[in-house]
Amino acid sequence: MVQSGGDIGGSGPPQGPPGMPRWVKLSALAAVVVAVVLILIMVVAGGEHGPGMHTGTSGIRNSHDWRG
Amino acid sequence: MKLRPGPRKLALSVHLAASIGWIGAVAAYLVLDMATVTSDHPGTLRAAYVGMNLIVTSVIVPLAVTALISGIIMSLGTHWGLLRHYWVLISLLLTVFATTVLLVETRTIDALASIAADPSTTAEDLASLNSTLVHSVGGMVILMAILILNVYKPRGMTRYGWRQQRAARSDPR
Repeated sequence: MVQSGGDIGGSGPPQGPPGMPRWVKLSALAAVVVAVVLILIMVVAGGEHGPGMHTGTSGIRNSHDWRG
Repeated sequence: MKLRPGPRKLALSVHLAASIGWIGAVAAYLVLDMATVTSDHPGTLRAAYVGMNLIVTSVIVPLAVTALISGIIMSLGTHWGLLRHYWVLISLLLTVFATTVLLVETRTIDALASIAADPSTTAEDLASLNSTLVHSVGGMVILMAILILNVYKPRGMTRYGWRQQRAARSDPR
């Protein structure tokens, strides 16, 4: 949702290349933490991750194999 | 290349409709996804999986692709640019990620719907099917993050944007 107009960032000409803003660093850190937690949960649960995990295996006949 | 006001407003209208529609469609999908977790009634499960497949293929995927393409057009056609500001860049990456996962997930949802729609599938088989709730909740969280980024537009210019800005100032045409 990019909109025209408004502030394009910064009130004056910067002296050097800008560093990464704090909100970007914190968001990246949060994303990494969430990703690690999700990976750990998958590892602990012992489950594979991929399209096949949702269709289950018990009681589903081979004729329903959607991968073939 | 900057868009003129007319095409820019048209692109913005398409982008807003697709983006907000995407969130609404995922909300509808989530309700059905929740039903596959909370219900063990065969009729409800069959209807939910078939409905989820219809919503994904007929509404969510077209809206996601439209939102992605119109977002790129809006970025390139305005002063924001595609890679100049962190909020635009992160929105783009999140949208590409969400769309990619969605496209992969459509195979799973189609398979679940095929199994659920088969009259020979027993109630036990239906109950053994897993839900896609983790992905749909994750998708909704990502869409909310994109929405917040686009509304607040937090400050922060990338090095590329900074160089572009400097070049434009030193060479005004």
